[in-house]
Amino acid sequence: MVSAGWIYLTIGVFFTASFLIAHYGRMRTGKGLEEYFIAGRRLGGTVSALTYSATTYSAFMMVGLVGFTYVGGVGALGFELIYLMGLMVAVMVGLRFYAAGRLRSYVTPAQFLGDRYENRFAAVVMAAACLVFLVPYMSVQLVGPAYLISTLSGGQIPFIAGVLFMGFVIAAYTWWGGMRAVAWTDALQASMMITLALILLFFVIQIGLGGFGSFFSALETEHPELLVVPGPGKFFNFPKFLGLTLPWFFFSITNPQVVQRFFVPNSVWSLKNMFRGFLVFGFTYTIIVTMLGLAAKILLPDLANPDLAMPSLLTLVPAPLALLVMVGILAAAVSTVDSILLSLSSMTAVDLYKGLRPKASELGGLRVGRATILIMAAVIVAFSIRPAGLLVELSVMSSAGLLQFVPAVLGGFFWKRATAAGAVSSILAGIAVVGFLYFTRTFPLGHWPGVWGILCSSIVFLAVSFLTKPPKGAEKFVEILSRKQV
Amino acid sequence: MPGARLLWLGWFVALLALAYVVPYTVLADFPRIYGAYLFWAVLALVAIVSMFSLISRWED
Repeated sequence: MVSAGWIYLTIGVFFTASFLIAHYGRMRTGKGLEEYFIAGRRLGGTVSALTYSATTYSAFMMVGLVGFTYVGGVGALGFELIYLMGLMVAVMVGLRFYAAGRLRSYVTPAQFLGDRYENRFAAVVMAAACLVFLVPYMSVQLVGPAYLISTLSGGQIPFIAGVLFMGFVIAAYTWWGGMRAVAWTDALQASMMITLALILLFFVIQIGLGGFGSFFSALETEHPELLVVPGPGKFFNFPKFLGLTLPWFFFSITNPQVVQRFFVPNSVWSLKNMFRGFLVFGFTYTIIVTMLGLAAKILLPDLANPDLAMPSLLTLVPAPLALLVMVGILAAAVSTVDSILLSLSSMTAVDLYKGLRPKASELGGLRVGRATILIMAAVIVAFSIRPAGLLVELSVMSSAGLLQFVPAVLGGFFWKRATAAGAVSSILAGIAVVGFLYFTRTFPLGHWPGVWGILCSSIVFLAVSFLTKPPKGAEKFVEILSRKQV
Repeated sequence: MPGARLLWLGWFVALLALAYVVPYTVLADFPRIYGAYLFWAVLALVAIVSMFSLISRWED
């Protein structure tokens, strides 16, 4: 247990530093939607890579994935590395997104759909779907760290205080500084996340388990079942593994907060460095986190709840290290929530407000976007304190729901025959299938809703596109971008 | 360049297929750290190097 005073002090220092960075960002932000929401497309490669990493990797890594590894073994590594391999999809379209963003002045990923399909409704559908799935997802992000703070302080800091504090600070600096604040604080937070996780790993393995040699032999003799799939109790049976990995494989082109990062680098050189930096970060962080999960199983073999693996591991290390790691986990949550918050507010301003009222001024759109940040932050704090069943369900199905954008996005870049009706109907049909299967708890042939959803949305996309007329500019759009990239 | 695109696509699909198939078949009864753990780590590194190679061809 760590005293509440030390926890308040550490978190206070962390958030003060974040706010100062955010203010520095604000001072360098010009006027207009492009400046506020995508930093005027002027971020360097290192900051882009770090904000991409911090946005992608949430508190799930140090709490959820450690728990997954603890209970299911090596399958958790496969799950997370297949996600990282999914960057292949982003690498196939990354330069196209970047170039299209510059040529057509996109601020949000939904603008791409609206423009390519020459149909405002396509952008509205994408923006609305993102709001439905990602608002509950953000709420869940606040819950984990708030519990961790409460546990670590022995209940001295109530859960509600943690949620309120995090919600307030995230909203304040995101609202104040826009993308520059988010990206630069993300850069600090990503550096903290990986450095502190690495220090914890070395401490646990070297001091707790006597080095990597002893750690590996203890694993092989005491818990060999963790080193194969499907793992203990068939935790990672194949349909479950496929159902978990498929939505995450396409995460990099379906989640607006990461796709928006294709628009922010200041050059192709920076875009390249963003991808390279993220791949190195992701691989290293994944290895560290899964090693921690396996080490927790050796040190604490009988935990009833795998989600307690990380909090319990922290009780075994010196209090200052536990405190710092807790801040690292907090940083992971905060850096994901701030990016989603900004991304959703940009979609509300650009795709919903300005999309439905084309004559609205840029200043009006900006005001709506900034107000949305504050309103949404209040909503997610309220949801975090009293999570309702429906919201928890929506959060769980968020990755499978957003997966349904895949045919429309890939078809938009590669298939001249793809039509607006095909894109919109595929997204709606895929989400309907996912929603129905999740709410009725139906897993046909043992496969997860996301798998059936993407199958359905792909078929609908192809069938409806063949039956309807492609937009006039589709051929030129696809050709111009094909010259940019293989 | 649809030919080059197809080659890259084929290579990535092959890597992905290996990621799903090998740990669930060949390595399913091999409870060693240099079994599925090492396999997935090395496969991810091969994928990362391949992505680096594709990225390096990007031009303004």
